[in-house]
Amino acid sequence: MYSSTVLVPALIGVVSAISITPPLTKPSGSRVVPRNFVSFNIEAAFLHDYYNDFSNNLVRAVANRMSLPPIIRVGGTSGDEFLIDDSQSEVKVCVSGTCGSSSASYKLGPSYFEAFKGLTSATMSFQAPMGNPINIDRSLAYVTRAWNALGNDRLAAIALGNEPNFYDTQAQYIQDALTIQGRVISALGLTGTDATRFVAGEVDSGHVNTGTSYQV
Amino acid sequence: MTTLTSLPTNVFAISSDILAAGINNNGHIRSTAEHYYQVMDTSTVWSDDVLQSNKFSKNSRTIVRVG
Repeated sequence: MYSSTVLVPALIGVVSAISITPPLTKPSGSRVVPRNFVSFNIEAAFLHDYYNDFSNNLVRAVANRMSLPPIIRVGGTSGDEFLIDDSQSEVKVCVSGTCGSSSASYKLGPSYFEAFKGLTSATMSFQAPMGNPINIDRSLAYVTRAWNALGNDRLAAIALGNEPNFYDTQAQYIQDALTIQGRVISALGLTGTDATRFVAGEVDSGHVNTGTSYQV
Repeated sequence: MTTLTSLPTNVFAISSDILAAGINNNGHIRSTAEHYYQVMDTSTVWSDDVLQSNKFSKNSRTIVRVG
């Protein structure tokens, strides 16, 4: 057994020493915590709000304390409903729904995608919009622009839509997910392990309670 | 408040359900996930003024998404 003495600051500022003896091998009932377990989600419509030095430094401060870059998930409800206008000067324009929230449809301009170049100490996943129903051309337009801005090296994953329990049916969700997956693989020319970077089935636990932490 | 006693048939119970339904027969899915929400109390606007002041209270609302 390895034994070590650590200094523990007490509330009143007094430092006292205690001895700890962590086991050298992993207990059989324990899980290995992924090195990038500390990661973050940004609602897709508001990604550009974090494209600044403050956010970059904040994430870097966390990343500097990790042995693997954190993952920024760019997704959510708004990520399924994007429109794109390459002639638009604004980052985004709300076109319907509850503007200013995740429950709205936003039209994106080219400057929106610049934000994928931020948070440079992290990798990112982004979402292939699946709407309800899906619009393949619109989804591909978002994915290709995000991928071009982010770069293959910083791509952690491409999520197929959002939380599947909000789509009409299981069969429709799976059909749409496989359709956009195939089109993305083809459009981006993904081969080998690059073609296995997809995430799907990110179930909203607001509707479920399985007691499991996550599934890989 | 309505308590959900059973899931509608069109709702995935857990992430593994979509795998069981065959979404990864082609092997391109690397992972699935469940989103856990921790909802706390109400929040003020996260302005520079607020962030740099003592206006935060124990009653701020934050949604933390994990997984």
